[in-house]
Amino acid sequence: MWISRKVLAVKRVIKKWSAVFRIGLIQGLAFRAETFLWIILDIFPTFILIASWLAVFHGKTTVGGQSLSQLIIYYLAVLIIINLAEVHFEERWVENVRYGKIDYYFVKPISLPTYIIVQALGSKLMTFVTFLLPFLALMFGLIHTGLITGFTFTFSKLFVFLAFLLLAFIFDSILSFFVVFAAFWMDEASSIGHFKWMVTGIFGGTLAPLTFYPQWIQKIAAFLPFKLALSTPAQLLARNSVLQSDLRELGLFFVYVVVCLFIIRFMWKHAQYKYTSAGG
Amino acid sequence: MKKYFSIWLHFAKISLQRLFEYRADFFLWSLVSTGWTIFSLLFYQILFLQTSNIAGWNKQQMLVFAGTYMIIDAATWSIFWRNIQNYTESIFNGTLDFLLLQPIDAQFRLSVRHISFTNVPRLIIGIILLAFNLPTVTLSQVLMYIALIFLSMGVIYTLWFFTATFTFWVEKLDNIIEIVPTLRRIWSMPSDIYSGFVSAMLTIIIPLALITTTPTRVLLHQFRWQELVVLLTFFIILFGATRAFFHYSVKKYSGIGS
Repeated sequence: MWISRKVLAVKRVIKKWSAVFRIGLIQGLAFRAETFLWIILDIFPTFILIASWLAVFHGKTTVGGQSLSQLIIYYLAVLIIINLAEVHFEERWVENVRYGKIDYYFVKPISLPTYIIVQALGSKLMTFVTFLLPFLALMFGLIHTGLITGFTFTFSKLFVFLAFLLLAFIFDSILSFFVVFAAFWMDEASSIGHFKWMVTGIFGGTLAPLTFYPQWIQKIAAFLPFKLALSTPAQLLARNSVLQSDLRELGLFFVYVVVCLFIIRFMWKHAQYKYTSAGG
Repeated sequence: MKKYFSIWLHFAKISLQRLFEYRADFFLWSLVSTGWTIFSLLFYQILFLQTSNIAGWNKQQMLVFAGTYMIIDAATWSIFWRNIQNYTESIFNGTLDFLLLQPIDAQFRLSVRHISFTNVPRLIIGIILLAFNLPTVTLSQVLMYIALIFLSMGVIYTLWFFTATFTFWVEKLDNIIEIVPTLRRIWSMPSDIYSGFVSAMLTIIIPLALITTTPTRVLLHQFRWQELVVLLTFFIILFGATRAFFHYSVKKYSGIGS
């Protein structure tokens, strides 16, 4: 009796989640041209980064202990992570909180953060489909021109990378929730979203592998979780095999994510009581 | 001309009044702008930790380049970003007719209504970079440099307005205005880093790579007339094409009044 009631409850949750997931997917499909343009715009800077490094590599086989091919694979991995794990829902939801447009989410049979994250997952699936073709074209072009050589594919590497990718998605969503929840206390939370991109960009290793950064940034980055979301998995793809340290960092990343989840749970609890609006 | 200048001045005054009204907003966005400036500078720093010169540009020359890039970027972003954003929004929302009825040139009105001051820190950082790394220059070089900065801004503006005008022809593509901000990566690096077909493409056919490089070369005593000719020709053609495309596209516009 107790078990059947539990099964029923789980079924109900899955039904709710799949409905919201579908909404995200439909929205992604409706704005497919926009999604495609975003992906092209995301891919484009990689060309400039590669062109810059080609100029630096002029007459050299390695720079900072890395070959050009390794560096390019690193940037491609960063591209995958940015497109598949990073979320940008904070822009929309900060506005919704600020203008008092979230009233009716409080009476829905699903909590607002769950609604946002499941919907984001749905639109990410659409992003994945749209991302695949231009990315493969880019990969093919780079392999064809001989810029990528010696890339080894192993299932262990793929498996660990996917685990990092999943945690990176949750971690980035948590960061976006920090921004959204900040809107309950302050008017200009949308500018905080830019700080999120900046901090993850600098301490995550968007510009280059972290070992290329000035020493003082490396020291700070070592204490922060951002590199685990970007630099560590990207370096993993650029290497030939999975190291013990990768697995250790995966475990550490998991701990960070769990701790952050508790923090945003706490924030959400208090944010709800802070919210006021007139009408709905 | 005088009338248009006084209108622009009036718009600038209103924008300044808005700045004083929303001081916290200004402060936060200025911080954001400063943060992104540091972010851009970090990339140059990373490159120079690995090499002493990039495609023939040493660190000091590169800092002059970075300063020029910051100045151009801050100026174009301050003057045009919000206007281009409002331009595309007015087409999507069907409120453009209100602007078209006003007794001034519609493109001018759409391009200069708002001025943002949040990029002032970026501008100041750019000027400081120039001041600390500039070799000895003559007055004529400085004047030429300023003229070329305006030319570069003109190229960016026309390109931005041109791409934004495609809004008339697409159903819903909000991020169409993000194309030029993404393309600016091209002129964030010296044109010499590009080689082969890409170089020919970006320095002759669509000379976007010259936007920062050409003014910077003036200050570094490496000015090339050919680059000026290419950039100027491109600007004139693009400006003409943008005007024609805008007027042609307006005919396609439909709104239900506002």
